Amino acid sequence: MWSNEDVIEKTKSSQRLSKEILGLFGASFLISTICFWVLNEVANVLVLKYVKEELLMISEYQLYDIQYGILGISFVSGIVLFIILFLSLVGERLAYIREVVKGIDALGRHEWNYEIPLRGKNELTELAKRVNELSKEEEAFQAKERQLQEDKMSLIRSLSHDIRTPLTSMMSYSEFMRQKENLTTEEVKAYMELVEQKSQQIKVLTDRLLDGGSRHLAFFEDGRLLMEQLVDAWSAELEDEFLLEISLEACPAFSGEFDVEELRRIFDNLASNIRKYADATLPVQLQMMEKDGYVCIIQSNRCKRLNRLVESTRIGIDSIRKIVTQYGGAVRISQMEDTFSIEIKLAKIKKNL
Amino acid sequence: MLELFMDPLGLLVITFFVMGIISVAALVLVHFLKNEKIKKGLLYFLSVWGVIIAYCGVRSTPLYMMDQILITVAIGALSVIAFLLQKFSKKENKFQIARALVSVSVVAGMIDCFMI
Repeated sequence: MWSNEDVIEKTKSSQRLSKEILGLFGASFLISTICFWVLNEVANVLVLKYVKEELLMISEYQLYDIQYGILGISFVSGIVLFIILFLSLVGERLAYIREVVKGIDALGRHEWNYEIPLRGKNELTELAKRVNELSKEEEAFQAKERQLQEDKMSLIRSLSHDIRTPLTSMMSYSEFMRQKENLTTEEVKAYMELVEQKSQQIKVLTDRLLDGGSRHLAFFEDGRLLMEQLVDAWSAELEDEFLLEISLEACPAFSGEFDVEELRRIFDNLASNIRKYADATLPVQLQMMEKDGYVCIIQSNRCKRLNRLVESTRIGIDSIRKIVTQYGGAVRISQMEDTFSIEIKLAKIKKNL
Repeated sequence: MLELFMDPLGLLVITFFVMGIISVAALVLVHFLKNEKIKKGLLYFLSVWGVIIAYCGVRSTPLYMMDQILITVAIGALSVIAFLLQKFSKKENKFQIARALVSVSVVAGMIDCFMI
């Protein structure tokens, strides 16, 4: 919306170009007039001086003729000079229109970083300023759009990756059950429980994908108990294939607001990475402790030696990082030769007294 | 009247007017235009023009008036100095100085060539 000051400024600037052109007209006219008079006088003096020096015999009428001739030439010279000066000076001002048109063309080609140089203080300058502002606004809007699109894709990638984890677990357990010849009732029951649990997890993650990744925070009086349960689930995923060394003694009692699904996703991703990349012949260590006032989870393992290079997509770690950032925490990865370690500073501890 | 202008006097007057218009137009534009490239071009043109005016002045002066010839040459030299200053100097205000020198050279050259 235009303010009163903008309107006054706009009115002033709308008169500037016409004032400028009028000024240039006046200046060109003045210079031409002065030149006409000077050229006329000097030419007359020149003629008289020449006649005197060369001792030419010319009559009064011839002299008048010469003087009128000089007057005529001076007049024509004045007009020619006026045209040259006025057209050059005004043409230069109006040539700025070409620059503004260039800028508008660049806007049409989506070259948002093109800036029209600002010259003078008239309507054309205002126009150039507005075009530049429009260009910047459009660039910012496009950048925001790109960021939103990136965030959306990142959310989809992250949640899709996290949905795959329980699905993989269900599939590998189904494969195991299929290959077994005689299934006991307890095994079938355990399998059904796992399927139900993982299905619930998939459902929650799918719901989250559909509602744009909103969080469901709940207050937990006993945060340590929650962590123990999550660690139990993590170890249940891996204990059949890996030797696990878990240490929770250093973890203090604490409370806080957490989204259980997010924490579950963290541990699922940790378990998934262990299954994909850890060496099963050596133990996997998981520690939970207080560090720098944060609940800290440290997982370390030896990496598999593989015949062909398996590229990690890092989606799992990025997913963990995004979740931890929402709690104000941080993730630190260290990889030395065959050892991989991930330190997750989850959230600031509010100790239970 | 036309016959009068076909003889040396007439040619002198026409030459004066043509040189006057070119000098005034170029001097005004080099001072008032805002485009730096055009101003530089005009400055180089005026440097050459100043030398041409000085040449005309030297040619129109009898040889026995050596002091007059020297003054005309000095006036022309101002244009050359202006050209060299603009081309090779690293001073920040070299354009303003060169423009002043070339203006003096052209105006003084015209006065010297036609009036003295």
